[in-house]
Amino acid sequence: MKYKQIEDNILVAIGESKAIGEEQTEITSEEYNNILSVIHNKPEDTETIIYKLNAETLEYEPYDRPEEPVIEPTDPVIDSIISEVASNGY
Amino acid sequence: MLQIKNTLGGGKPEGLYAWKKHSYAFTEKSTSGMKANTFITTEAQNKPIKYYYSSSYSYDNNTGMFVLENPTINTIPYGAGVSPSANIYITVFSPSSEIMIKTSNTSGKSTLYNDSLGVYFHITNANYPYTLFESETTLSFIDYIVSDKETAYPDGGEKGGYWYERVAELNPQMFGYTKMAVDTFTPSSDTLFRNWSIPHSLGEIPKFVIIRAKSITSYVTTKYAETWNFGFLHNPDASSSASISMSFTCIYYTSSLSQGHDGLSMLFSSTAIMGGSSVSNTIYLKSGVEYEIITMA
Repeated sequence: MKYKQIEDNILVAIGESKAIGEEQTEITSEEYNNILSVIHNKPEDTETIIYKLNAETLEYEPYDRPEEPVIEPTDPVIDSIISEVASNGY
Repeated sequence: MLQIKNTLGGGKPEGLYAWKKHSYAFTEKSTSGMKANTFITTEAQNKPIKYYYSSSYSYDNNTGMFVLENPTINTIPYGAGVSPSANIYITVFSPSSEIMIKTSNTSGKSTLYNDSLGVYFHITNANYPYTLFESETTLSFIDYIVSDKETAYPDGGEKGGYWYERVAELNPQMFGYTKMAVDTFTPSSDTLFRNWSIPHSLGEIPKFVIIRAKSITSYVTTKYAETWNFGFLHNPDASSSASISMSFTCIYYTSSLSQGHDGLSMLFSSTAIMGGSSVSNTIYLKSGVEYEIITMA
């Protein structure tokens, strides 16, 4: 089934799955294709503005770009896995 | 069963199933100096069988069949054998066959049997070998062919003058698992991967996950996962509890086309895979790009 995912009145994603959770709502193929068409015509984000899709109007609206979070590595096991993948290429 | 769509053939339309398409040709192959038994069949016929013989034959390159010309028909009772004449061509069951034998230049030195061992040509004197005729098939690879219909082409068979072999498709057994689901999602905005719920239809907590962008763009950046070749996670100890926190390694290509990597901590459940906190660089999912999520257990 095709679905749309809405969070705080923002349509964050569409997709296709045989099982969906509480965050997803089943939609028709027609609605899916309509939303996909809107997504493919999303305005370009800028240095200070990002665009999000209003779930009710299906129009992109500007938002202030949030600061990017700085995440520090917290797990040495993860670091070692990443290093191994980087060195082996897989 | 969910399938991975194939994009073989360099830009040809996608299809659920893929085959290798070959041109083929049959050529006549003869093995002279045979001094061993040649079995036409190892199944006991339990009845008389017909055999055919002639002094000449023709070969059909299209079918790979040897065809006796003006053959004489004879019968071998079950449990018996016959000793054919010298320098004749013999086929069994039909005057047109994939296997043909030419007897030696001396008669009475080999016997054609029809008994409990099957139907076979038995050499009685190794000093008088016979010749075995068979067909040899030569395949020449042309291209990959795809179709959404599983029976569109044969697996190891001929259709329309070409030979087809089914191409193996991704299946969970390749990874030691028995179950697989393939689902898709397309973000509407450039979105941080972490803390986002992605549904999957596996029905249980995944033990192996691949996430890939179905469309690969030529322009890449380090932080956008639109150009992921694949990101994978191996979670062999997944339990039946609600969620598991595991590392997730993403591999992507930078603007210089060198491989990059990144790591994410992810939470899993039986219905959704949720991105956890990023480890080093932040990873974004690119708006408008369709991602495929493949889960196995």
